[in-house]
Amino acid sequence: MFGLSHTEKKWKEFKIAAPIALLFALLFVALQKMGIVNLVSVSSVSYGTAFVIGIIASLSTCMAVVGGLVLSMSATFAKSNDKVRPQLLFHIGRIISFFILGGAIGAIGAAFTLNASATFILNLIIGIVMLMLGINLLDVSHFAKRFQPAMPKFLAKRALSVSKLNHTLTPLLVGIATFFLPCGFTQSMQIYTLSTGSFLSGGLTMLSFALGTLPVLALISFSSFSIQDSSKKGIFLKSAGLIVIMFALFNLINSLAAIGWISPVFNF
Amino acid sequence: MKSTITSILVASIFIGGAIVFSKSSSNAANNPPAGSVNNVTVENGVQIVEIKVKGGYIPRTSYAKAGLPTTLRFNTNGTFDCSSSVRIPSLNISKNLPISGLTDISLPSSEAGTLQGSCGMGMYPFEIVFQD
Repeated sequence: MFGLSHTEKKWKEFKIAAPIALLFALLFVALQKMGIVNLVSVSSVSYGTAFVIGIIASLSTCMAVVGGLVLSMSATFAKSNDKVRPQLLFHIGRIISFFILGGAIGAIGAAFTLNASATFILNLIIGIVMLMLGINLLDVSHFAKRFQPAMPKFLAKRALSVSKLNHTLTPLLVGIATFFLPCGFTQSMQIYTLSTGSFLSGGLTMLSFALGTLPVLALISFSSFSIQDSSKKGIFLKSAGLIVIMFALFNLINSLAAIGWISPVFNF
Repeated sequence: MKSTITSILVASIFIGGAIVFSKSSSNAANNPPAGSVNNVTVENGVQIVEIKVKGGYIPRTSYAKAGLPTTLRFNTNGTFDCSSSVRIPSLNISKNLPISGLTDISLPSSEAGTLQGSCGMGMYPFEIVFQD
């Protein structure tokens, strides 16, 4: 039937998507190797520096966690042609939660830090969800069906159900949850916020940090706007899928190192 | 099928590349100090290993004497990145360091061998080699 041409089209899309994803990966590694994390050299934090630290955080390895999650979500929603609203809800949820939770930390004087095993479990869940969303974005399910177990069946099924996200609640909750995601910068900002001692200054510090991360995250989440016709859509989704899979593996390897099951791999 | 293979291939190229990148930079840091980078001192019978913390741990490899009571002294200076949370899985140590300052962590024992640590997210590896 039309199988061959369909396959050829997808194969062609991969030929463009793979270099795009690879380029993105190289850019990511290069950014880390350049030592962007050393750009801050202050010991007191104003709202301005919190904002700058946010910008740096959004270009750091935190991008693999938060950025990867944002990309997988936005591409998944873009697939069902719902581009704007879920993205807005995500960013609104993120910014409001950073203000309120940051304020809570400042007022209470205790941070919400997870212990090592809770962090590991959270990392594992995020990694697996991202992996499934990434596989789903590649749109290779029919390959999997035709050539038997290219992908374990249970994984394919899960990947499909994971991608059927609620378009209102999911982005909002994920946005709020980013406050707790494992990211060194978010953590040290929270530790600093402890010392602010008031709801307002704690909230404003975390808000400034969240606003600093906004430009890069917005760029990632609205990258799906660029797709107009269906030929470009396939390429975009496949590039996004490959990038999300790479970030997911990166996160999984790191979390195995953090729990001590393997030696640390990445020096950035 | 082809595409699944490609995706796995691309992912492994990325990871392999990153490993090569990070390994090549670690080779330079792994050379024994031969007295040049002396970050280990003994104060009142306690061995102190001083490690600078910013965008990683410096030095990546410290050489200490086995059998002495040992304290790791982490020195942060405007450190906001992942390395500000220290993780040593084998001793179940997870510690958030202040943005700037000195933080001491006493080790329960210092048998001969290598103690491996990283930042909280499992990156920025560092090690302390305890020698007899």
